[in-house]
Amino acid sequence: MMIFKTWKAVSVAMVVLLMPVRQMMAAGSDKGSPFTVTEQTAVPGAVLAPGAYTLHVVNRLADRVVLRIDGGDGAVNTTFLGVESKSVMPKSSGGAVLWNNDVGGEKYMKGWSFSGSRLPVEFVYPKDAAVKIAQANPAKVPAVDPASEGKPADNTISQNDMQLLNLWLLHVDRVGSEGGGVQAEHYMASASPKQRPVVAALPHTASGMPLLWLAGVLSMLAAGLLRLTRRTDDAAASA
Amino acid sequence: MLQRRLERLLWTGGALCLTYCVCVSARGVASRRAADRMVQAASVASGPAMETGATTTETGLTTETAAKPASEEDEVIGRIDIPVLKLSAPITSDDDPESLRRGVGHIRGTAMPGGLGTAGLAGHRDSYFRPLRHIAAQTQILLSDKTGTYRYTVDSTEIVMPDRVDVLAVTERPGLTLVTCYPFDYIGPAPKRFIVHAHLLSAVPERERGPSQ
Repeated sequence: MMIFKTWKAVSVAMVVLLMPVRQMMAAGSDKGSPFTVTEQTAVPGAVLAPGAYTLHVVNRLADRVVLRIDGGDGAVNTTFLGVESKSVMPKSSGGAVLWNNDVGGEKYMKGWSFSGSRLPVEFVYPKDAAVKIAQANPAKVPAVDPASEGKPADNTISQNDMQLLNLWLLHVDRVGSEGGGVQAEHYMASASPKQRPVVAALPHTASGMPLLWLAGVLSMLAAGLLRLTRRTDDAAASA
Repeated sequence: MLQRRLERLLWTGGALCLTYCVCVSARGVASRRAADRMVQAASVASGPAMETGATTTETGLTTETAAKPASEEDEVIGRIDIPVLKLSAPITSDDDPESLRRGVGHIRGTAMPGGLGTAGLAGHRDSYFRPLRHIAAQTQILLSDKTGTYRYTVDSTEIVMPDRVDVLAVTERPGLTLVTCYPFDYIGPAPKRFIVHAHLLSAVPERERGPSQ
C-alpha cells in the first residue's frame, strides 16, 4: 500500500514537472531558425527586405502550424499559418524554400524545410496573394480567407482565430469543364477539427407584407362600400 | 353614427397599412439603387481598392482606410442577379427582419460573396426570392460586391426544416446557399425552408480574370 502511494506521488510529480516542458514545446519555445534574405521576398503578411530574420514555430496544432517571422531590426513581425506538406522539397541542411516562379517580379517564400526528420511546412497565404501565386505556378497553393470569415485580414488576427480558419487549396484550372478560373478546394487533414454550425436555426424568411397590403386594400374597399351604402341610404331618406 | 365611425376607422387603418407598405417598398428601392451604384463603381474602378480606399499590400492583405460610406450603402454589401429568372436584388449585411425587408440578407457567420467558404443569403419568398420557385440545376447566379462579380452555378435544391443548419456548412469547394420559406404560396410564417445549393466557378472576380483563364 505504501509502495503504491509513493509510486502515485512520484507519477504526479513527474506529470507536474513534465507538463511545462510539453507546453513549452507545443507553444514553440524553440529559439527559432535564423535565415538571411538577399533580395526582397514576400511571406504571408509581410515583404522581407534583404537582411537577417528568424522563423519561429509558435504552435503545432492538429492540422496546422502557427509560425512567426521576426527580424529586420524589429521592422518585421508577422504571424501566419503553415501546413505540413510533402510538396515542399526538403533540404538536407534545412531552410527557406521559394516558389519556382516569381509573382509580378517578386519572390514568394513557399515554405520551410527543417533539418532532421520533421516534415517541411508550406506557408498559407491570404486569398489574394494565394490567387497570384496559383496563377504564376502550376501547383495547389494553401490559402485562408479571414475577411470572409469575419476575422481581421491583417496581422492582428489572434491565434485562437487562426485555429478556426478554414484552410483551402487554390489552383488554376485551365482545361476544366467550367471554363477555367482559380478553383478552390477545402483542405481537410484527417486531424482537422469539425466545423461548428454558424447559426442556431435558418432565418425567418416570411414577411407580413402581403398580408398588410391585403389588409390595407380590403380596409379601403370596405370603407368605400360603407360610404356608398350610407349615401344611398341618405338619398333614399331625403327622397 | 356607428356606421360613420366604422367607416373612418377603416379609412384610417387602410391608409396606415398602405403607407407602411409604400415606405418599406421605397426603402427597398433605395437599397437597390445603392447596390447598383456599388456594382457600377466596382466595374468602373481599375482595382478593388479604389472605391473603398482600401489598400492591398503585395502579400494580399487588405487594410481598410476608407471614408465611411453613406448609411444606405453601409447596409448594402452587394447585389444578387439571376438573369434567367429576372431576379435582381440588393444584398444587405444582416438577416434580421429590417434587412430582409430591404433586400436579400447575408446570413451572419457565413462567407462573404466570392469568399472561400459557403456564403448564405436569405430572402422573402413573397418579394425578392419569389422567382426562386423556378430555379433549376446549372442556373447561373451572379454575386457582385465592391471587389467585382463572382459567378456561381446551381447544383441542387432541397426542402428542409428550419433547424437544418448544416445546409450552411463549409463544403469541399466554395459555395452559395440561398434560403427562403416554403411552401411559396403559404399564407403566414411557412413551416419549411427552400434551399438552393450552388458552387463558385472562380475565386477571382470576373473583371479581374485574364484571357488565359
